[in-house]
Amino acid sequence: MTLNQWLFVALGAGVGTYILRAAPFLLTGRYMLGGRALKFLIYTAMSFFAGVVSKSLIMWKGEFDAVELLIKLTALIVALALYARLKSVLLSLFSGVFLAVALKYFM
Amino acid sequence: MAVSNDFRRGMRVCVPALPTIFTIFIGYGMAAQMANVPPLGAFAMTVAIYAAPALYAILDLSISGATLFQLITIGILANLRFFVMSVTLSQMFRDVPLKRLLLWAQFVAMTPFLLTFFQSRREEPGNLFDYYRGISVPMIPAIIGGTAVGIALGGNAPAELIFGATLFMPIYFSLLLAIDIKSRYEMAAVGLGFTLTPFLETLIPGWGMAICAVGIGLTLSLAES
Repeated sequence: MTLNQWLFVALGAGVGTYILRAAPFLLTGRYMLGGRALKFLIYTAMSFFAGVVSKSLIMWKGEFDAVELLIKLTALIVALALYARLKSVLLSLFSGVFLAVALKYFM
Repeated sequence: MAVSNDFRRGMRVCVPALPTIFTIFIGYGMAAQMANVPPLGAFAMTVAIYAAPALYAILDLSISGATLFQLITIGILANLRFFVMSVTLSQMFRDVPLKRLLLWAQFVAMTPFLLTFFQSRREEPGNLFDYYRGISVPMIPAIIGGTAVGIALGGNAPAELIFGATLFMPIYFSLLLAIDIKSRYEMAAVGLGFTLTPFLETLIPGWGMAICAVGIGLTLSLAES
């Protein structure tokens, strides 16, 4: 494909995606949604959140690797345990990531 | 324009997620180079579409010889989740002038959406729109810089570094979830989202996460009422 064709794809997909992003501000933003609709949005967001985590841990780039998954889960558990003890997000985060890199290097 | 405390707080809270975002776009830059996308084309796609899953989907499809219309369609469909995110954000930003909303709508993405969502549940959330803007701003250099580094590296990035950098976001988000779950329905949403998303993403690549989240949201909100 030529540069112009790629620019055309960028423009087309970019405009379409922008409409998806902006339309709700025009359509629903001026109105207060009801209780059930808000609950739906909250549960959907929480599920998105958990989905991002599991997709990143279990199938990074669409590939599954049991050893890597074990390392990642170990790092995650250590980070959560550290947070429960120290109540520091950054320290727990960096400790977990450092542990995962060390395990990956030595395994 | 003065920078508010909420804007600064947004910038700070975004920092732990930046290494993962940067790495995701390094991966995209490398993939774009391998798919023979000219660097200017790769940058234009990054800026215009501003979402890694759609970029990967377009590259995958381009290799199999799809038409331009098919590439544009898959790029838009892969981003349908932004509609649900913007509906949620529109409820938090109801007092913000429409012009400003439309300007910043381009930056609706997973990280600003989720971090702003969590902030909205605090006792004193502050100015959520400033907070959202604060999250969005440091993401721009991470996304564009990641694409540039990926194009420059080709296939030469050290594996351990990439592996470590990809872990910042899932561990960070897990910690935020652990802090923020408030009811058993929310716990159910998290548990179901965590376990079902990989299966649905395998069955329907690019769609699984959105379908899963909307399905769980709908089921639980109906069950609770």
